[in-house]
Amino acid sequence: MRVHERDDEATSWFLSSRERNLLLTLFSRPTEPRERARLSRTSEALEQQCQSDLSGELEKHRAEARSRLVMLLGVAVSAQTTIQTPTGPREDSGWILRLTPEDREFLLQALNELRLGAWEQLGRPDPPEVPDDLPPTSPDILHWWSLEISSRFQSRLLSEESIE
Amino acid sequence: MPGTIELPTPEVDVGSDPQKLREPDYAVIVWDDPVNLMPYVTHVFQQVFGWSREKAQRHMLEVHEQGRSVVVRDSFEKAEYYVHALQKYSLTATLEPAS
Repeated sequence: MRVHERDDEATSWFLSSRERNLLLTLFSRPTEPRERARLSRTSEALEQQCQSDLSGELEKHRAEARSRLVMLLGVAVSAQTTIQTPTGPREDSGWILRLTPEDREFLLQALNELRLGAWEQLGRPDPPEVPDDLPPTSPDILHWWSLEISSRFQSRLLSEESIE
Repeated sequence: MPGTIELPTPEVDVGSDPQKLREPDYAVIVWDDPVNLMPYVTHVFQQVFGWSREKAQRHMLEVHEQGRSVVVRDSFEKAEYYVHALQKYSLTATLEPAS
């Protein structure tokens, strides 16, 4: 995933076919149930007053973000680009994903939602790093995969932004 | 001056000040967790509060090193709005009555 071009309204990202498929897979899967977000840690009255509003609003927002990203990935256009490799230029085929600043925030939020959902399913490991002795047949493999893949896409988006 | 009545200075009851009643002071707190990436937290602070990168990083480091950072003190409505905005990014943010 790398920046293809920028204009006043949006940034176009070049995704390899594999990257596009990964994102589509991530956002099309049923999401892990998230632990309830608290509104207050010290005031039960505040918690009671606002909890139902908060849970409903967050769930609606998360569903909207995922469906919007699936739509954006669906309308990405196929493209050819030239990349520089140690052995010289190479033609690469993939997809152009055009993201407005608002779309980028939806993508960052949705990736983080996946990361936190996987992390919670893994029992909130601290640090959240794949154990060296994780057996390949572990039932946790899918959660670790979601956590790692989402982190990589998220870091890519953030690192490009920091050099803008 | 003869005939002039000196009026007593009214006592201000801060506890029933209508302005105070309308806009109680609430604090928005962001809590540390081991999973949110540091550049991500900085980015969220910039987006939600419109802060400079330096200010956002300062608060991010406060969260990381001290376990929490008070990011806003405001009326209930505004503080609630900010908590919702931060939780949309999956940060651990809560609203507490300011002491």
